[in-house]
Amino acid sequence: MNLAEGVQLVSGGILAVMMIVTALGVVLLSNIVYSAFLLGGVFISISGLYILLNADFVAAAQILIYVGAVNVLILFAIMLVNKREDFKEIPGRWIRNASTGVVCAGLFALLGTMVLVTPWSVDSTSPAVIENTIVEIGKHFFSDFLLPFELASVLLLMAMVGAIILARRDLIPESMPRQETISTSLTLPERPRELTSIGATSGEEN
Amino acid sequence: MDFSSNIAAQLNAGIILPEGIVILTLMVILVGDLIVGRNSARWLPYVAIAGLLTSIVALYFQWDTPDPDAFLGAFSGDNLSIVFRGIIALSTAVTIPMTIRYIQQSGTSLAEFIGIMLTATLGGMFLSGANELVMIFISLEMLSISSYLMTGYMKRDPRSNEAALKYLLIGASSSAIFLYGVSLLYGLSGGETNLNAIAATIPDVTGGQSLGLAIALVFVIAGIAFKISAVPFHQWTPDVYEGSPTPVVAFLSVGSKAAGFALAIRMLVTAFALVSEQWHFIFTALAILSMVLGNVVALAQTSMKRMLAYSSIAQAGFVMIGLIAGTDAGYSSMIFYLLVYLFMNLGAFTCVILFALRTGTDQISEYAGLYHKDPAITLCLSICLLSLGGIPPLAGFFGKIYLFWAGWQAGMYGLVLLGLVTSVVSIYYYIRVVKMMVVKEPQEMSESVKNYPEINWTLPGMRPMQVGLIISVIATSLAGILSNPLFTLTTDSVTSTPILQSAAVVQELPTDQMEISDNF
Amino acid sequence: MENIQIPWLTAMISLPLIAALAIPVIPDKEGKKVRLYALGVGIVDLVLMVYAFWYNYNLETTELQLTETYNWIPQLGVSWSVGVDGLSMPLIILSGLISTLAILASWQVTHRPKLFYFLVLVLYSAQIGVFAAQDLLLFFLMWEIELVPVYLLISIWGGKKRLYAATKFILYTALASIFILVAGLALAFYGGEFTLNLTELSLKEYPLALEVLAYAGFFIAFGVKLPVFPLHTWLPDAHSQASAPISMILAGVLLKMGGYGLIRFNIEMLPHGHIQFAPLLIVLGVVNIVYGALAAFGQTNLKRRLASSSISHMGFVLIGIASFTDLGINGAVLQMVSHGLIAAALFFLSGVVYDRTHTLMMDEMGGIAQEMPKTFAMFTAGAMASLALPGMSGFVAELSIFLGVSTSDVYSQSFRVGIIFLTAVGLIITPIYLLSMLREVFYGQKNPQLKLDGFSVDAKPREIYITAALLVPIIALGLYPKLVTNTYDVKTIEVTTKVREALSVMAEQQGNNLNVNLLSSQQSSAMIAPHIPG
Repeated sequence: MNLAEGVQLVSGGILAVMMIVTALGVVLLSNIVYSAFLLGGVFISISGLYILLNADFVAAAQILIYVGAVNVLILFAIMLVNKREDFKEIPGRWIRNASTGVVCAGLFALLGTMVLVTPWSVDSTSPAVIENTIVEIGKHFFSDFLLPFELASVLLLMAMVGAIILARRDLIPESMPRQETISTSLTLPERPRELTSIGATSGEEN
Repeated sequence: MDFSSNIAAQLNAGIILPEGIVILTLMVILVGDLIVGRNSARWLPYVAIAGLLTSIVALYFQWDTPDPDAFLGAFSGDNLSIVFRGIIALSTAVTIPMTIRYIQQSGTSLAEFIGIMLTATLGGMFLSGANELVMIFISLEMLSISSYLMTGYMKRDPRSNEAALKYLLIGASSSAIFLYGVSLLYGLSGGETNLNAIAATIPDVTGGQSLGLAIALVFVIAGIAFKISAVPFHQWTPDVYEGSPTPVVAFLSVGSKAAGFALAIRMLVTAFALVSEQWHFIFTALAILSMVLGNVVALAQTSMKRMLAYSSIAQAGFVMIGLIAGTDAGYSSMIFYLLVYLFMNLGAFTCVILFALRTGTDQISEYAGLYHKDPAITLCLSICLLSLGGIPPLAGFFGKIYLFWAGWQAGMYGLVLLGLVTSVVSIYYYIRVVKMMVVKEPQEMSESVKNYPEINWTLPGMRPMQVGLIISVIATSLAGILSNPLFTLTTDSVTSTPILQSAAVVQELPTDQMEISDNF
Repeated sequence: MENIQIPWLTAMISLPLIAALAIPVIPDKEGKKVRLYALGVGIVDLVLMVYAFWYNYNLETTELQLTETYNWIPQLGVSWSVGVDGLSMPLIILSGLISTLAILASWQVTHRPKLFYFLVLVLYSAQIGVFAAQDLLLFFLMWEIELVPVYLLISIWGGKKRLYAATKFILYTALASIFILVAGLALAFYGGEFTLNLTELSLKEYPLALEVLAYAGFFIAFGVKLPVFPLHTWLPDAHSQASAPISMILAGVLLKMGGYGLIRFNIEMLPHGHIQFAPLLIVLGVVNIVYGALAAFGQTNLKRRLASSSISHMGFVLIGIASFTDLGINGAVLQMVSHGLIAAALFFLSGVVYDRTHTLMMDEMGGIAQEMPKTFAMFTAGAMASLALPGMSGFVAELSIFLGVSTSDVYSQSFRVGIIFLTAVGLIITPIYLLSMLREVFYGQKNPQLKLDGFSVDAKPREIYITAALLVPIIALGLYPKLVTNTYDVKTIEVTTKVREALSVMAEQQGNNLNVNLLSSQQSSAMIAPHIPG
């Protein structure tokens, strides 16, 4: 074992421990803000593992997307909601916790066994041979993964449209009193809501 | 040397022409809505329908295409996928007419809704032909995310919100599980993502069965079963069906389900050919649970949409019989049933929407005495429900007979018997609605029926609904009696699809080595 | 003798159905035109039947006649294959006659007439289809088609507990009918060749275990319809809650589907299974007769009493079927035809009475003979036919079943004596309850609370005509049974021969230690029962 391998091993161990500890923190801590920050820690340690696996692009993307975007978004959401609520202690809660723990441990044992007993077919080419992973990924994107890559753009477009629809404020006519909105919103989805009808649809109440 | 021109020659991009047409329609709708504004609602739905029908025509011309593999094996345009893509496109084309009035009356904007629905269709269509893991996952997500959006489209209705959130959470976790299973496949095959390549390499690598493959199978089935809402992965179905806008429910119960079955056939038959005994066993269990639970719980429902939700669970159970049979007849009976199910279920949902639009409720008891006020809807809904229950001479009867026939041929006596018994149970709850509408006397009418508005088909958005309803009902009544062309179509699509043909051979070989028997 | 040019049977089956589809467009609010139209369709179809059978049916042969076969769904092996033989021909005419009379009997249906006649016409088609179908899935389809119309006919135009009765009917029948499909598919897939054709199915050789299982399946399905003792509970409810014309069809035709199915499927297709089950059939037949008679005795509702008497009478059919003599099977078919006519007449007359009295409880009636002498006379005639008075069709049928079973060499002496004795008990109770019914309804003190209303109280010409149309054949058959037996004599002999062949084969194989009291093979093959005296 030379120095590089030793460093790899040690840093791999540190990253793994860091990941497990932070992940447990995410689940077990009751303060949601702590959980959110610890989630960032999980993402960063995963990214570290990627670097150890010579997947530099994925590691960078992991930090950019998960830490930079997803995690920050979660924090924003927590901040904006800004509501502290003390949940009532559920009787017999430990049973739930225990059973969850048992299920999780069982699943872990199963997957762990599976990882150990399965004869994985490991690719013999060392990842280090690939000089520039970005170029490789790009080649894949424009050859065998072309269709999913292009399709993802349609998916993103629609996700964007959907997000805008969900976030946008509806054009409710001025004349409509505020109270109405609340009362109608509690009715069945089928209930005709003439008052909110817009544009071409106005004037066809039945 | 010249990477791009090398690749471009091999892409065979003409195969996805039908999907291209749908994408183009989607663009026209989004951009057209931007340019024209709210008035575009007058013509946009028709553009969407026209686009979908054109896409079906394009599919028709690709029948028996000599070289079905496109995009370096990422997508397969074989006849099986053509049939399923056709079913999905058709289901959307029939669903859109019923959305127009519904969306307008709810005061939300139509163009975006149709856009999202087209995206979902697109996801389903790509999923039917996807032949590669990344492609499968992307199209699956495309279908799922659009479905979540549609479910929560009525954002000022708390029930719609609740449904969307539930659907999103359960859907996301099932996607994650599915992805985990898929990643195991990738690892087991030594870094292959193409299904055919996986099927070819897994036996060499694992030397038969392995725990990894079994876990991958279970996880993948969990993902698929969520899409087709098979028990015990069905918990989302009743709540989502009840809360979300009815046209979305119609699409989810037909188009989305068909896509799930297409995925099931393709993945299980190719990538999991090695463990076919096991997946037959798992699906047998799912089918039994779905048929029993779906039909029995449907008995107790008071809301029409919930009842249809459980009935759709049960119907998925019936369709699974064809999948488990694993013979040519089995697969083609599945496709035939899905085709028939498309019309009868969408017909039923159109009637439910019409009733809801006029009365504002979907309680079964509120249908009492509808015959006296609106015989047309009563007739249509009765035909569709009786067809779902499998009463001859409607199409559903023939579909079920074909499924049971195929199941019996494959030797699954117990399963067929259970299917028959549960379909008798289903007759009970379908006929309960018919009884409510037809048998009740004028003095027993429910309040909503008493206040039933004047029937007016000239309101905007009503005509297309009427046309869609009439088409569905005619198809439901006649598709059974004149089913010969449909039978020919489905049988052809199965017998001319290479993966199903080679799978039949693979399946026969290793049977003696398997321990778990599925001859239930 | 085939007639390929004119598809008689297809025309018979499809005419009412197609005619029914035109009903919604008839501009008629009160139902006067619709009822004329429906009656016209019924008569035309009946005439079509009689004409087709008169000119194109050969009485001499056992083969299927007027056959038509068109490929329908080749992938499933389903074909539109219809044909008649001696077994189905009389039953087709019976259903044509009774359905037409039922339309005439429902002259007073003013409540939703269009729907009513629509459903009756659909039912008409399905009945003929069941008897004519020669393809298993076609048979099943026709069998199922009849479910929904009957359900709606009972549940809209029935009595107070009509919904309960209708639901019970549909669940019993639908659950039972899946056994037809299961057993049928099992037979169809057995062996190398897949076929759904009934004739080809009956030519196949099946292992005994499969035969027994399939026999049990068919027996449950047809036993519910017939009905056989433990599966009969839907019948009193359905028959008593349905309106009179529908009861006519139910008792007159629908029950016969069960008997027809038993002969067509259980005996013809599964003779070996039949040998195993025959003693059970006889025992159940006896139970039916005695139980039905006792149950009828205890009913206070007129129609329930008639319904229970139907159960009792269908017991004879079971015994006849299991008698292993052609006399017995002959009698079973005759009993089906004759009971169809008699039960239709009695149910119709009970409807006539109900129209005047507005009650079916016999203890509320009494002494109405004075005001309704014609009805009384007809009712008496019907009751006499039902209790098997000599000279009426019921007598001939029951007598030949008796003769058949008592001369049957397959059963041991003591078994036969026991059967005859118990059946005789049932036969004795029958006149008691029928005559006491007449007494309670027509004789005695007039119940002062009972108000007879209606136009002219006694039966009107239309009602007399309907009863006459049923009573005339009843008496004609009683005096000259050959009118009907002629049509199926050759067929029943063929059926009996087939069963007996199977019997001798089985006796050879297994010796005498079957659970049946079978005699040795020599005796059984030597015996050929005498024909019914003409």
